[in-house]
Amino acid sequence: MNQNKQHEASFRDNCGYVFVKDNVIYRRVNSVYKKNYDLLMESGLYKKLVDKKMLVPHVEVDSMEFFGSDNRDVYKCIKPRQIPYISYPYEWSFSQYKDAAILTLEIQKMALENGMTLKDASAYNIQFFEGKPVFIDTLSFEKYEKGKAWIAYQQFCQHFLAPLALMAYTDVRLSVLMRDYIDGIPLDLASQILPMRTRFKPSIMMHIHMHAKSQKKYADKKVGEQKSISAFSLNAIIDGLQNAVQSLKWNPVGTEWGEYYTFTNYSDSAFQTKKDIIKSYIQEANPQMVWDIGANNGEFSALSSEKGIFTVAYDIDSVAVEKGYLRARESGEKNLLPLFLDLTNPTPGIGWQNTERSSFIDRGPVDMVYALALIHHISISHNMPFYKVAEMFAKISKWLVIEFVPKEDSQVQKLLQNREDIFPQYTKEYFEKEFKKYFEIHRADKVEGSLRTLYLMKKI
Amino acid sequence: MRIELRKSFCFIIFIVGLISLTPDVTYAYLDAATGSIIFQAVVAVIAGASFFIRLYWKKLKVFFGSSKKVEEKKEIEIQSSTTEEKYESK
Repeated sequence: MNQNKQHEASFRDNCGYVFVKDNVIYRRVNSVYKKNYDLLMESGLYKKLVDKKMLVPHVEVDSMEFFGSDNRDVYKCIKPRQIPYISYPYEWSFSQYKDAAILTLEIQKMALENGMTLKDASAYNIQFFEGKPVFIDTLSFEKYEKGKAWIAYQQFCQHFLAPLALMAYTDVRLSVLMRDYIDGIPLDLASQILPMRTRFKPSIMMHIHMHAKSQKKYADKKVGEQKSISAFSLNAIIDGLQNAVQSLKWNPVGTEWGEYYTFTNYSDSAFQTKKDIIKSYIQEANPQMVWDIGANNGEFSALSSEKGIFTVAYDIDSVAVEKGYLRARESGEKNLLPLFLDLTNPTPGIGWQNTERSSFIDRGPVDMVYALALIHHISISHNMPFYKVAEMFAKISKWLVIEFVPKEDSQVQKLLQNREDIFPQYTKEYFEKEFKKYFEIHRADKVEGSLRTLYLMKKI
Repeated sequence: MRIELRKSFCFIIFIVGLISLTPDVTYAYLDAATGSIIFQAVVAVIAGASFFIRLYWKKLKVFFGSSKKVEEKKEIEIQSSTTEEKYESK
């Protein structure tokens, strides 16, 4: 009867949990959350948030179907709108992170207007859906009690403000610190890494530097009763945090990949040929979802996303991911999700038992993977033998679109310029031989006007 | 520049407020999270006051001499709207 599997990331909240049945996500609402759930639904807050696409919508389903007679503590079961792909803060670009932070604060503001408050402000409560951030934890709302502080203030600072400040003032790559600290970057650590000038910026000085000091001060001391905070002051705190986040800026400028397409050795016609070939592959494989690995700013990802196929555009370069997101946001692209990924050290599984947040590979396999102009970087720059590359792609893809770039290609020559050529087996024949161990080669097309070959492979 | 000076001035005042507001007595052993909740009482005062100032800053600016500029701006707006009306009536 009970084949529901409790989600690995949902076990801390006693108000309910997420479970999966037949690959569909549901949420169980416990009786202990009844009052808050009813208030969320009846105060008009749910409707307002859903209408503005800020909260994931849900429908109520029969809990008997999932828990049978064993449903004493169950108040409701809800089926939320399914999010096609789960991403994590350490995979987001600066603007994605910033948009997620602003959404969280906007929701808290609206909650307060409707007599509720957010009991947590975890970055993991935000996912990207139809190109925009959306709040996914329906059980995060609770009744606002007059005079009470915002319980999630610290979490907001650790999950959003600290990483964003570090990205803006120290180095944009520091968002990966979120991988090591599952409950957000400790404020004392952020305070130490942030440059001196942030101490003269009132919002950062207060919410990070002084906040960190205060935590340390009270960590092992006895204190008096907590002071009451008026609703006006609480709104002012949220407003202040909003200004603090809004004022953080990062300007993505020229990196190795940022201007990649300006310097490729593809002529315009070869570029178009490559696109046409990929389009025909998409038609043949008819995927529901695509991962474009080494997507740069999503030029080729758009071939599938524009057809309504959900496409994750992964890249190692923060500038490329940022530009991809800004472009998608501007054009209102709903099926494209640019994310950060270092394929040679992909996102690991983190948290409790290493399963609370999924690894990159565990989120696969996906219907189709693009590996365009990628093989030479992995094999030559990172010394990855073909059999290792093929093995990895076999884990994550059902269909693989891969481009072989031969040694004679000027881009490969560039990679070999300052190093010894220790790759005698870097040949088209050997490449095909190793990939055939995992894949069946469906099509192989030479890209006219270049030395490269495109392959459509199907996993055996 | 003026805005920066204003911000710094307000900030110094609130630091003084912060020190005077720091609680220092009794009941339970606390972790970092509780430290945050206590700190929030201080943040509330600072944020509340700065929010209040921001709300009334424009009004104060008008009161202390920028009123001329505002009047000029209004005049321009009136002129442009009459032009628009003329255009529409054609």
